[in-house]
Amino acid sequence: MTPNEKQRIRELASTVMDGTCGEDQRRELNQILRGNDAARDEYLAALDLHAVLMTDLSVGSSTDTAPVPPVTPKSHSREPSSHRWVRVGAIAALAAGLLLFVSLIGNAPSESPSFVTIAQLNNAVWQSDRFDVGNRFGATTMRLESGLVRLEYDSGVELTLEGPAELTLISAEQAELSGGLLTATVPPGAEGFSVDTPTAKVVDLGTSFGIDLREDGFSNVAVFDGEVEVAIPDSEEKRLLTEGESVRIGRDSAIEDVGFDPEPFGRLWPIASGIVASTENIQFVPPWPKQIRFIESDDYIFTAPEGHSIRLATPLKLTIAEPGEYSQNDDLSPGEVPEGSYVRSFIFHYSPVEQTGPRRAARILGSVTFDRPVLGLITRHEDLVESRRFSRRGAGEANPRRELRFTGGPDGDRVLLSEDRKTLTLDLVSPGRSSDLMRVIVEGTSRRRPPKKRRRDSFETLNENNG
Amino acid sequence: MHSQPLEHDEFLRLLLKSEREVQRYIMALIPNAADAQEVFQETAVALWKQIEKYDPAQPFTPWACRFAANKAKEHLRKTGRWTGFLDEDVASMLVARREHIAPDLDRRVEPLRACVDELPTKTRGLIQKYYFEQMPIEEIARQVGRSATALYKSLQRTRSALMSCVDDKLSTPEVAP
Repeated sequence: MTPNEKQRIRELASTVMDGTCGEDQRRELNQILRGNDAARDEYLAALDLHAVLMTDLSVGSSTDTAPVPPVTPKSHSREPSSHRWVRVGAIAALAAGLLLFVSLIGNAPSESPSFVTIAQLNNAVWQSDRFDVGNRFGATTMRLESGLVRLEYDSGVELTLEGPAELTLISAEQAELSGGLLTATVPPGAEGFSVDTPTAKVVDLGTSFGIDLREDGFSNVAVFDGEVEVAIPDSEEKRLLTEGESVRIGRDSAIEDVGFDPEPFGRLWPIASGIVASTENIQFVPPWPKQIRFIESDDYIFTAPEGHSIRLATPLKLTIAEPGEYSQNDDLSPGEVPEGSYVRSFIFHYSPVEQTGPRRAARILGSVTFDRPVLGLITRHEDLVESRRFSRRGAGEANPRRELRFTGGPDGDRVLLSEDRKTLTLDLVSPGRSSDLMRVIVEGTSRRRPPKKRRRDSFETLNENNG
Repeated sequence: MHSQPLEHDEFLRLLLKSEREVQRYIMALIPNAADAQEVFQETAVALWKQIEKYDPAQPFTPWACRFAANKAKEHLRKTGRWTGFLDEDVASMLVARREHIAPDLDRRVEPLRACVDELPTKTRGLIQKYYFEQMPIEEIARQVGRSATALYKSLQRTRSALMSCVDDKLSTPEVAP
């Protein structure tokens, strides 16, 4: 840029600042600014000088020889002058007025394109840009080399992906899976969420389902819960699938029934449920049709989530509401989760194999860590029956022999909830023909909860505070 | 629902803290102070409506600036005496560039203070009245007995001088005393 060009940009910038810019000058300015970065930089520097002088009173320091009375302090401190307070007051009034204004008109459509948060990672290796827990973003493509990732949409939709996989997030309602293994849970209110695969379009009707693209040229769709519509692109063909059904769609666009096989999705389930870690003797029973109450094993505690996060319409009674170690009935800490709270329930089930004749008491020790606080445990028979609202198929609450017994003796059960409420340790004993059943109530996700973390963006090059 | 007074107070605190930076940012597109103030107010409304999307762990100002950029472009699209002087593509290029060179612009602020102090008395008086006291140009003209046109010309020369002064200070690093 020649000195003359520089000078011309400064002149034109000045006409813009003073509002004396005519149509010819306007056209010339736009022409120059379209030209190159150097021209734009010069213009922006000129405008910023004007902006700093106009807004930053601390620049306007005056010396003793100034012919006009100083209106700003000599120091470069950021203390507002009395002059500024007038405007600060105006903004305070404006902001106070917003409260009423906003509560009247409600929420405007989002100006921010972000709609998804990375909720959890498990040994994730990225092929694309890496994502970290808490990152917020909108439309993007993620390529996962290996490991697991859980995504939480603002709408409540949750996706869990196992690498190698490629997933493109198109909008808050639509994603495209090009390869890999995916499970989706779609809460009430977010129905219509769809996942496109190379051979099918899977539309969720309020449910959870899995898509397996690992077999080349085929999309395998399994419905764990609720209903799903599978459509063939560019054709009229559609199928409504309900829980326990699986289909396979090949390149020939034929929808073929296959045996329901949730097995491949088993690894995704703990992370899909927000479980961070657990001992090996805690077995996850994914939320697909399986009657957990009939499962028997001496060596495993089985656990399953009971549906989506729900908002309590009435208070929920807890047998244990506080962190601590519990082995005696007298020490329990009963409590209540107030109505209106969002909670999620997990059923825990320990049922040793039934034997004829007398047998030794089976005993198991395991622990599980959630990614969110445990609000409390429901272990008493009456409380279990009362909390049946979580169970869609019945967890066997009706049997009074399934409650936990805190006798303090060698045949008694023992539970420990850590101080941070996230880790639960179970020491369960099942003498005779009894078995153990409990509900673990964890904090739920409210649909419109503000995001926890936001993806860092390039605007951070701006100074936050400049001083 | 935004009925908790704490949330509102916190928003206000953040808004007040970032006000100056956001206004400065808006003025890259809308140099007229009154228009920029209007855009700032529209930005504040938009921010408040979306406050639930704000993550307190992240700096507020860059977040606010993103809203401000949208509001400023919206303002430019409106017709009016003053607005619409930048074509939309140019405005977008400037927003992108402004983001890119923000650290460079920040580096110019400190030298600018020194440059204002070094101005000849008469010129500094003009800058004082126009910028710091935000006196209308006609009023300054009446006070000093010169025409508005002459003062505009004078302002233009002074700004250019300040630009050159800042450029010089940045190209010749100060020797430590």
